Amino acid sequence: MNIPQILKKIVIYIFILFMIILLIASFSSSYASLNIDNLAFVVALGIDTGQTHQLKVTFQFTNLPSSMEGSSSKESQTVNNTVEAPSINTAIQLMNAYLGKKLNLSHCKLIIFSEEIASQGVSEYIYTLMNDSQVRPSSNIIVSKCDAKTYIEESFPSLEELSSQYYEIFAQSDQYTGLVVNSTIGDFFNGLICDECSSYAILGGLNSSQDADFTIEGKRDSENIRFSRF
Amino acid sequence: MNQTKLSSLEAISLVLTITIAHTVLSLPRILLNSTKSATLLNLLYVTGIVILLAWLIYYCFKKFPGQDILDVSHFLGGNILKNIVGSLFILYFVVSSSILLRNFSQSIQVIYFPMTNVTFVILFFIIAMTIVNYLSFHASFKATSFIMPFAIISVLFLFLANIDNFSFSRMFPLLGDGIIDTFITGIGNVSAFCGISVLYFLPPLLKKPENYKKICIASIIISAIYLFLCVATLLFMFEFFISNDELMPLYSATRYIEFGSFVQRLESVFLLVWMIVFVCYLGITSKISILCFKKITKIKYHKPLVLPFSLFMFAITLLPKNYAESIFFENTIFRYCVWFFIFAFCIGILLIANWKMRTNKKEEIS
Amino acid sequence: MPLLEKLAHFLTWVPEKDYEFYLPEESSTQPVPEENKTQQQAIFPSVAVNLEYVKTAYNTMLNSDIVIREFNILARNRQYEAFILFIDGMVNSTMINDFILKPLMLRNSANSFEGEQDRVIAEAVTNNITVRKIKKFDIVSYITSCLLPQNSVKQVHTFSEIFSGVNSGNCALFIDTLNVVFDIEVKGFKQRSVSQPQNETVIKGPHEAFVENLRTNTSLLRKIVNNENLIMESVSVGNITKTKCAICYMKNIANDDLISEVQYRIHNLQIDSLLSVGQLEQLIVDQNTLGIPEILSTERPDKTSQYLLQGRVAVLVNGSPYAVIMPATISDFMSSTEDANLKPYFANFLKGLRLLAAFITLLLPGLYVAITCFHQEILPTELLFSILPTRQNVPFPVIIEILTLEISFELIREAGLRVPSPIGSTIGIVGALVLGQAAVSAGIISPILIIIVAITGIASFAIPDFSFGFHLRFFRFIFILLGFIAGFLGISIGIFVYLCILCNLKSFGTSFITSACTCSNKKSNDYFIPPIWKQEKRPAFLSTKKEKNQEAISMKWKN
Repeated sequence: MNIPQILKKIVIYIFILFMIILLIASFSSSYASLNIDNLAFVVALGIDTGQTHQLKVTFQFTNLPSSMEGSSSKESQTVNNTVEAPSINTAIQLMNAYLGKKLNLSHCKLIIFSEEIASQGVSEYIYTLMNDSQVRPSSNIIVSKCDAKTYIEESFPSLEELSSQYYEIFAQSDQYTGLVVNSTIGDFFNGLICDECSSYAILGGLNSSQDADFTIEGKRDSENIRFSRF
Repeated sequence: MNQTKLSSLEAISLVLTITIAHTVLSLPRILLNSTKSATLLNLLYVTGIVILLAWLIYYCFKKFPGQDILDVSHFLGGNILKNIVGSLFILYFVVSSSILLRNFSQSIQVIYFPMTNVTFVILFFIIAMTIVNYLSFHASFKATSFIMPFAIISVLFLFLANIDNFSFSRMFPLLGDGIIDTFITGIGNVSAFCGISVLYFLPPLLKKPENYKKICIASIIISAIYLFLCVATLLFMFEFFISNDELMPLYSATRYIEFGSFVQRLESVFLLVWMIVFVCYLGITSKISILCFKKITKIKYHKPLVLPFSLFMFAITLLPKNYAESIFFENTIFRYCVWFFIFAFCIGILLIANWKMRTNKKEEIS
Repeated sequence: MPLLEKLAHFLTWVPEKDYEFYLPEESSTQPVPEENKTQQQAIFPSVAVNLEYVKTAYNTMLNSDIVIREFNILARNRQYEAFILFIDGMVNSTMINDFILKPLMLRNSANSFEGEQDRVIAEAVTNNITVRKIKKFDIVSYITSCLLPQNSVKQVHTFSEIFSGVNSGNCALFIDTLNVVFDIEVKGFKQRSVSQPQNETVIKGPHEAFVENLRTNTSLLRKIVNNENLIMESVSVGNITKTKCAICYMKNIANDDLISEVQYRIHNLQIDSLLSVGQLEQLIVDQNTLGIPEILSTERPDKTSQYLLQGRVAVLVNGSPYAVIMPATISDFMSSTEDANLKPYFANFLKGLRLLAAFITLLLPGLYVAITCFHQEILPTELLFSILPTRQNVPFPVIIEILTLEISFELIREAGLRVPSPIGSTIGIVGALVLGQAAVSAGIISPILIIIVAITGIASFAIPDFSFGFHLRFFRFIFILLGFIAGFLGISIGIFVYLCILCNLKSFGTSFITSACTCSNKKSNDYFIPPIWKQEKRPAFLSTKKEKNQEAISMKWKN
């Protein structure tokens, strides 16, 4: 091989190396923001009316122990955090700042509105949530009679390990009980837009409990199905 | 370059790739916005028209066996017409694929790479396209025929898996905005079948040129079925003015698929298949434009042209300042381009060439 | 006074003797001139000159195993000086004694014929004049026809032919005043016997494998094909070693152009030595793109015969227990001989399984990296929450972790080849299980990654052809890198470019991916095979002379 060909080969190799480094460098920022190590996965979202600001938003995360020996008590498996903010997006930003890890809504199974906020109208919050590319259209919506915060803090699954499993199963139990309907945020959104349809959601509540640490094992109660107009 | 020729299946998959690449972006939304709830009916009507046009193309090419549109225009108007038609085709292919690339990369960047500059996403596609163009002529066409079944299965799966979320009442009113809008103005929807642009170049590349008629008609029918499925999915799932601000409407349709708790949020898998189809599309358009250029300028080797063409396409993708400009180009300007250039102009050339050939023959006889 | 001396030696410092031997970087010796001209030297009529020439050529002063036996031949009452030349250890001495030396040296009925009588063929008497046709006495034909009761005797004229014969184990017989030398077949060197195949085991098929000797291998093929149209052409490759290769094909089935192409490529190789089939493979393929193998190599004669009967060409190399078969397409690398012996449903199931194994080997680690880095929403929530806590203690990011694990897996694999057999199995257990478990407990690796790497490794063992599996193993690193850079975008682009490169490959005139292409319309060419009674035609891409494999209705007994 003569010198121009050797030079050409060297140039091509250097170019390929340069391209690889350039691409790694350019995509690394997205990698950093989407990498599994930097994300905190929200399992349930609760929206109430707030005292200082317009909204009080509660986020529930799952905190699984890293070692598999023994089962820890139910309380330490979930972590709840609440912030007050004028809108949902601001609440997410505040949570990001507080936690350090970036919030990720792609595994959020449950969205809970308190009855107070529901009576004021939820369509703008639904729009916000549907616009987010991470929110699943199959997440369930519940309107709770008490505070969303209390609802989230008090719901412990008795038969399942993870709360996310529990949220999925119980909303789909309409197939063998008659008590709930699988109301998803996607259907809700379609119902808002469409002229001929209405939206529906589950109405949920807690058994009477005044204390926050009164564990209610196996007495989850979803009361009536009500078709409300929003 | 002339060692191997295309088989019929590969030729059909070529035409289909172009249609699929367009539907992944915003073609269904354009169709829906123009004819609202009558889109399905309109699509059937338009398919009939395009089948007739495809048959017309086949009939015109019968008199010129083994020649493509450039040879026909050479016969009709000498070198000048051939150069004009060739340059127009090159411009059409390069610009349309660049703009499509820009839109697609922008959508992907918004969804998956929020912090990355869109230039790098485009760079990925351009590098892949360049590498593939350096290989032999036949390689990317064969790879396309491999990918085609997966793309069709993906849309079929999308349609069937979303049946739960369909509300068939959105089909009504059947005639949409009225007969004039559906059938007269709706003829503009013919631009959905832009895959026909490949048919003009097929005859010299085929292994069995006698199958040309079958290829023309089969590719149109399969594209029509594919378009039908896509449009039906979108029509039945969403209301019209929801689709207005979606990046890729089919992508939002994939987000609703759910089978129990195991199979959820499969949109990335669909996008994987669609990205491969898109790179196939880029490969095809660049190969055809290089082939065109080679024919116009009569040069011997096409390999040195690959790098300039890739850089040219890269430059054009960076031209629009923002997303709105490229969307405008794709939705509005592109439709008229296809309608006027691909259909009216080229079929006109074919018809006039046929007429000239017939008069020449009459003169010879007499 | 030895004690004082010893004390003096003990207390003084003696410099170490340096062993001085260096190879100079530039050779100081003159290069040996090309020996081609001398090898074309024809045989001298005088046996003494021949003897000197042979002694010089073979360096008999230094070479201890070259044997030259001089003796006298008695033929027709005349004595001729002669000598035989052979290499000790490569010949069967009993054969030399019984069938060369004995008939030539001992007095027996053949060579004790006395008299000067010429052999009379015909006689005619006219007008008192007798005309006789006489066949003159020819000593060469006499020796060949009467004196050498040996089944393979060739007459050669040049020293190069003699030397190549002697080097491969024959015996050369030089006779005074003759200008031919007899090359006699007396091979008797030790070799491995036909045994079970090491790397391609099959449950229901035969258990014979090729050995190192070329003649044994060709005999194995002949046994199975059993047809006179099987041609085994002999070729010598390599200027120094002159390795014998055999090009095998069915004359009435294989395409002539294919045969001539193979012959052309093998005959035009200017190399010094050819030691194995692997080297031959690299020398005659079309292009060495990315390490994708384009020629099939196998150590089973039944597999080779199956491909020969399809119309392909096989090449055997002396000294290598492998045969190479060309052309080869991608479904040949993914099929094993088992497929022909099982029912088609099970064979197709196994084929599908192997296809899955190929995908897993290539793509699984890359997909894992892409999903955890960019696309976590695909994972079911439970799986995600079982991955997350295990990752909390791991100090490395996913890409470093997976690269470390993959490289250690390759290291274990490579080390397992060289471990002495007593500890061989221990390494397997130690390396895989205990190390992996220890790494997880130490918190360096997350357990799900161990499972992924283990599944990838197992899948790579499921691929029948070794070189094809190797290239897949190599490319999964590229896919890992692509998945890390850009998630599914990188992987899709990698898949497309890889597919295009595969479609671009040509193997001896046929496209590499022909048989897996959905556009071919002959049924037996597909990747999934139909039942044997439906395999009526030979593969179309081979352009064979005989297209039909069997009749349309092959089971005539069934009506």
